[in-house]
Amino acid sequence: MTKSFADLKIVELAGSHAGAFATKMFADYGAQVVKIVPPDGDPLLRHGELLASHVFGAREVGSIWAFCNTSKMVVTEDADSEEVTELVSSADVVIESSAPEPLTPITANLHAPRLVKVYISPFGLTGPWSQRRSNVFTDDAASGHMYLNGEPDRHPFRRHGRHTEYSGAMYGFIGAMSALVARESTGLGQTVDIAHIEAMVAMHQHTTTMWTHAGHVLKREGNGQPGMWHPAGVYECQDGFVFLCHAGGAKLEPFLQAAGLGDLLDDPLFATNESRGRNKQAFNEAIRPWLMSHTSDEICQLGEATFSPMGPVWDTHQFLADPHMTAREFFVPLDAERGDEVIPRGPFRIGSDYEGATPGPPTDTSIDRVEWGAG
Amino acid sequence: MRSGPLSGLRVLDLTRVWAGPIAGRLLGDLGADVIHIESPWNRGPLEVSEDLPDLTHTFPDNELGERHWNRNGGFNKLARNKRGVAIDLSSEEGRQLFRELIAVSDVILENYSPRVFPQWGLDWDSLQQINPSIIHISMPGYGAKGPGANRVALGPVIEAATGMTMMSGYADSIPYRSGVAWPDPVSGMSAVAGTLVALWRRMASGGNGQRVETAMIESMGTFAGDELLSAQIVGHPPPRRGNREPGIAPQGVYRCLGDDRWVAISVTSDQEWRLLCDLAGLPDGWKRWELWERESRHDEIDVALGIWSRSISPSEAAMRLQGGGVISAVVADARDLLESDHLAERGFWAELGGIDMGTLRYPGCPVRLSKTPATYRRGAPGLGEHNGEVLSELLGMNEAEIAALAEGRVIVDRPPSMAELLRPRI
Repeated sequence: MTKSFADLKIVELAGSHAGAFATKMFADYGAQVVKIVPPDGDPLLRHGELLASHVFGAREVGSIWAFCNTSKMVVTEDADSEEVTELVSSADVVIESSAPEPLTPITANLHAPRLVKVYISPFGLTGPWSQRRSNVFTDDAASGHMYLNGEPDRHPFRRHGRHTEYSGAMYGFIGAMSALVARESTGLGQTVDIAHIEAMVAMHQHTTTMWTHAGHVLKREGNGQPGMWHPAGVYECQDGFVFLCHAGGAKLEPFLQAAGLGDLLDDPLFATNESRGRNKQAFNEAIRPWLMSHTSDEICQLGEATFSPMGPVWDTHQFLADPHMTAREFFVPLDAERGDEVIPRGPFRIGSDYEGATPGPPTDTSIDRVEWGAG
Repeated sequence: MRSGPLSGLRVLDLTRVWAGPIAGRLLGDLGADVIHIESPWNRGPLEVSEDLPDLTHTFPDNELGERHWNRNGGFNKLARNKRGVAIDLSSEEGRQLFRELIAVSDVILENYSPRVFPQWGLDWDSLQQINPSIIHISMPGYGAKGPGANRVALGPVIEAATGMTMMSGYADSIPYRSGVAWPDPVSGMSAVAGTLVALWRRMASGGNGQRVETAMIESMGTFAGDELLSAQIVGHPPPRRGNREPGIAPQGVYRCLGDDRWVAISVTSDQEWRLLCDLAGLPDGWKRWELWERESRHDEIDVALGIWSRSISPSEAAMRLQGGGVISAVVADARDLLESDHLAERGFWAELGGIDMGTLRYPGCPVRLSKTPATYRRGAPGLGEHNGEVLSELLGMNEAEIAALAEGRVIVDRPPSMAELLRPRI
């Protein structure tokens, strides 16, 4: 009989936020997660902006740590101690990660036939680059994503955020779950090796295809979509910015008609997807006066009314205040007893009414007080 | 050894564009029998412009070929390991076929608007009546509930709504979109994660059906979680910083020898800074600069590093710096990725053909399982390539029944013409 998700036992030995985010997925969706942090202090503890904390007596923790470590039991202990080895041996999954340093797994030689071992690192455990150092910035560069961001005549820039670590983490979670499913029939655990670079390269749109199929190196195209798809970028308006994404063209006509710009489509320069794709700058100039005389709200209301793929370019605070996200209860308290900050609920919802994850603050405990639930 | 951890799992993949198809691809890589149910017009109309290959760069050798709809790499890269069935679900006969397939499958993966399944009479209760063990993965842009549920979403629009676009760009510029429509694959990963949790719950409950919703806005919004928290702590949204980042200096990209070639450098400690000074020939006196001074003199450092880097190739620059202990990397383009000895040695690339395609190289599966690895069993299917195979194998249909469906255009193996597409359908 398969044990319940809530009875899964996960141990985290993370030297990067990737491992922490992977086990956060287990913890927030209800499994039991023990995070081991070193007695001389977690070097990741203060990453990001600082906020008050009660976690293992620390006065402050960083926002990245706080976000990535919800719903876990936190134990301060040497990762290679007998107690931790015993705990890992009794678990279903152990997740280790490291960045920027290469990963040398502590549990690689641990004999525990049913244990699923997940290792997440910038370049993976094997291959000529496996001993290279990398962080989210250089991961973004090495994986070919950075090269595509920015203007053709200026330097490329990073995609903001910790995407390379979180992507490695999500694939790590998927690998762990896949291995657990396989264990139900084989009775055996296995090793899962996740490289940030492979995670990111697997998530390119047309970049590698254009090269392998047509010998074309995709370049930066500023705020537009490469190729014939247009408009598909950020546009300035009266009080900010909007994102027009009429890439396929199907909903462009009703939107332009509603905006009083329907005549544009009679112009041979803009009549078809292909012609717009060849005359991007001219199209942008043609719609700019109308955009600059309307607010983001006005433009987006028109977009919604015409079922147009477009929307606002919001900052963090505007997104946090979106009535749609509020109605969905997407943002939940980080720690209701200690502050007003909220965090996202999680990337998917599961249940008969799509209830979703329930992240909560981590709890301190000691290794001799870890009590795995049933199973 | 089995063909993957999910072998034996049957998935009906009704997804379009990118977010859904990449989820179906991953399930297939992990061993699931993925049946891609496409609408007849999923790959566009029969007639396309001769210029399409030049505009998209996604057709092999820039040629449309006889059956262009089977040759677009944009579709094919997401369709390996899937069997292709093309059914007109706008017809009642098509929807009946779909219902019969649901009865013998484990998972439905779809990224329609939340209105579509109920309109087809396939709300959750109805699905459970057809198959009490079914797992339904829905991937709407904004979710089924909430005042903005009808907003129309494509990946870049979602990125802009979460605050991530506003943070990205040059420090002196307007916000910039990502070069890749990032929320799509992020949402695809989330859908697979949700599928696996649902599968586990089904196994643990003795076979109860499960429903999962992966709203693209929530997948992307979760990836923005630490930034959203930081912004609340400081009380305002983060500024656009280009490549710079508080606490790390210098950090940037530097032009190298060649056309549009760059190396990325990130200095995260005083020790790394001293090493960089030696490796890049920076003035000795700069070595004592602590973080605050490096941050305040970042422009000056950038100029000096740019002078050092411009006469060497990005790979040489990155190799020298990596060898000396400084975090750095080539700002890779597509060719660099395909020529990477690291990715090649790890066997990352999947080499696959298709009925109208030669063998080509595609990104492989990033989930590396030691005992039940991902497999690449077949290339992308042609449109409707497996109509007969699937309907006979799963629904027990005979040749005459399948021929009748083809005659009535309920199943197809070539796209409709523009004239057929424009004909009103109910």
